[in-house]
Amino acid sequence: MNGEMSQADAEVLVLSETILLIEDDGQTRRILKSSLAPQGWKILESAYGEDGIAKVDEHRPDLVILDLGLPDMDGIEVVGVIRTLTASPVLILSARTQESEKIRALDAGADDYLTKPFGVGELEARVRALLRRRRNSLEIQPAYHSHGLYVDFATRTVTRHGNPIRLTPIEYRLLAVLVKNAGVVLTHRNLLRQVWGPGHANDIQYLRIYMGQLRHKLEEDPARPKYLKTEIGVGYRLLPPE
Amino acid sequence: MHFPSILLRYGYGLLLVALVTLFVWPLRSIIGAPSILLAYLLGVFLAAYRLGLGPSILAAVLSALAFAFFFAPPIFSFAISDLQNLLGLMVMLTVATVTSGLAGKLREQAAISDRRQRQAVVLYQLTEDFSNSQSVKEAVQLVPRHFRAGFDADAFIVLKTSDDPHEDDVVGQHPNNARFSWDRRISDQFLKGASAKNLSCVDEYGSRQTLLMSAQAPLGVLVTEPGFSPAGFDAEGKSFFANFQKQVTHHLERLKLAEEKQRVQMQIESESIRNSLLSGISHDLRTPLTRILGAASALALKKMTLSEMSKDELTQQIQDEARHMADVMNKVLEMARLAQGDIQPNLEWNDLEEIVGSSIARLEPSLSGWDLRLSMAPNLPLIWVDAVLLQQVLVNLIENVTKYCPVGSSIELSARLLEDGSLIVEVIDQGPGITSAERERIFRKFTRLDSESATTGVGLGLSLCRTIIELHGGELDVRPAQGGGAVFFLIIPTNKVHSELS
Repeated sequence: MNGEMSQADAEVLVLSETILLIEDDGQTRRILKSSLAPQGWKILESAYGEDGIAKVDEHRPDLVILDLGLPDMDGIEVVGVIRTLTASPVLILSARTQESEKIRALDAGADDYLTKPFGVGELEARVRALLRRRRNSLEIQPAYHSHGLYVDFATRTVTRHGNPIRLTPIEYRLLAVLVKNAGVVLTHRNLLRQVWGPGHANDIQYLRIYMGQLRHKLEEDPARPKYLKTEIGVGYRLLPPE
Repeated sequence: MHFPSILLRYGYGLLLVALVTLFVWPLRSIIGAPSILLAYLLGVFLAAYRLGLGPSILAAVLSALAFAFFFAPPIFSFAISDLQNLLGLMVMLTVATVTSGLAGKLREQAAISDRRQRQAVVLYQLTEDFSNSQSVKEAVQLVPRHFRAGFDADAFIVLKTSDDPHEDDVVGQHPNNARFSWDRRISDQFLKGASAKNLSCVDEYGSRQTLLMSAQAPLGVLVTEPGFSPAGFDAEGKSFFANFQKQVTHHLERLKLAEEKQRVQMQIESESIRNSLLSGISHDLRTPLTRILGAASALALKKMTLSEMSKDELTQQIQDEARHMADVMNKVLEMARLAQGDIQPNLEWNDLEEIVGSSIARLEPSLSGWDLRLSMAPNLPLIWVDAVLLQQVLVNLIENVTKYCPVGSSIELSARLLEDGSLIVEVIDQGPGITSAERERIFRKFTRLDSESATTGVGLGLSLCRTIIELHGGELDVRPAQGGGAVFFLIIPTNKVHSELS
């Protein structure tokens, strides 16, 4: 019923969505394009930071995929400029495995990251999650459902395979923020700011403890979580809805 | 041996004669003049032995006078009527003088041997301290103390440590702490000079600077306090000073050579580390690359004849192997970063459960053949660690099990608190186990138990794991498991326990 309707809406929206690739390596760009274009997205390309920024300004894409290692500009700087132009999500591609780079990019305003090399499956999942979140921010989502986990915002109830789960107010708020961003990574800072308020951005121990409690309530095997994935050194990611 | 001052010694001589006189006076009627003379002779002899030549002669003269005055008739007059007494007195004086001379010489010899012994002790202690020191720098710090013990004067050594002009020469006793003034320029000149001669001079402050030379090059400069001059020493003192210098020079040279040898050895070692790293990496990359090439060329050449199923299999193989190569690359980069030593652990409050969970998630595809069991104690406290590094360690430990233990065997990962509050994480396998000889080796860099096996890995894993755990103030080791297999365990202190929430 309701779920089917939004599904149909999404299909229509997907067709008109534009993705801008800013990546200096032609081969990588070709692979990205050939795996994303068949999904119905319109693809724009750019090989340089400055040109990419100009294209963001001109075309207002719905999503930007940005390589951090560009020849003309520091990728993190590009993120900063894009943020001043549009609220569209930015997905970072990084060859660097260092967590600090990712966090710097996320702090600068990027929305998620993919570490090179990556599979096409991962790429599509990230793009879908980011675009979904962008659409969701335009309308209120009544519910979340993924592999047996069900969150109903209207009645504030959470169930797993039909069994109700009792959450404290903070746990519920934490889960709500995760659900709104399902499939997208949320940094520790971001979560702390949204759940506890800007004054607690560095109180990571609160987050660890409440996240642990939430995991123990939601997961069948908390050490091998199915829904609440830990992105080590960066943050958390909730499984995207089915 | 301790000698009283000169005046006091003459006083003692006087007292000795008075004592002999008082002792003999009541006996004068019982014993004869010869015995009385012998008593005085004993006194003189004692004086000669203990007090030196001067006091003993004083004692002899006084004894003669006392004998003449108190005992030789006429009593209470210095006149001596008896020829026999006069003769006895002459003999006593002669014997006293001769024994005094002999005793004096004896004493002198004792003093000399005492000084020699002290010098030997100084040289012995110097040698011992130098032998125990590990570096030239350390040895040089010892020189001032031993110099003071040997010569009762201040001195230190200015070193030439390197040919790099930017590196400061080390000073045995920092020049700012030196208790006397000296001219730095002279020692610099000495150390710079290629002259193979032993140089020595007195600078404008009066401090003597002596160049210590090794066979080929200047080692350092001995700077001694103003006024100290070996030229004023007797032969004995001069040779002691020369020996002292020789010892210092010898040991500095030895230590310098040892340091040089160690440096060369380290260079060789790092060269061989580089080589073994390269061969390890190329082995790790060549294996999957061969498989990718094989699968790709099969796909390219036999496109028509291959069934859909085998095409899928080959594509899957290419994907898997490429992913594996990417893993190896990431690991090598990570290890290179760690091996360079620029590890800045990003310490934060972390939940072990999350680190364990993400480690398993990272390994998931390769773990499918193994039975991984988790036993984590409930309510473990948060730990103050770098999550990324600790994850690296856990991934390494679990991956090792999958490399060395048969497929299908079980892996147990357990975590609990020890009695002292620290956290222990154990990875228990059912593999072939690790012998005590292997146990020594596996934590070394670039060691793989079977270097020719098809197992991939550059052998940096365990040594880096240990480095990481030690960075956290913990320990990583292995012990045999009950019923075969090995237990790799790591212990991390939890002393920074968070008190507000736990």
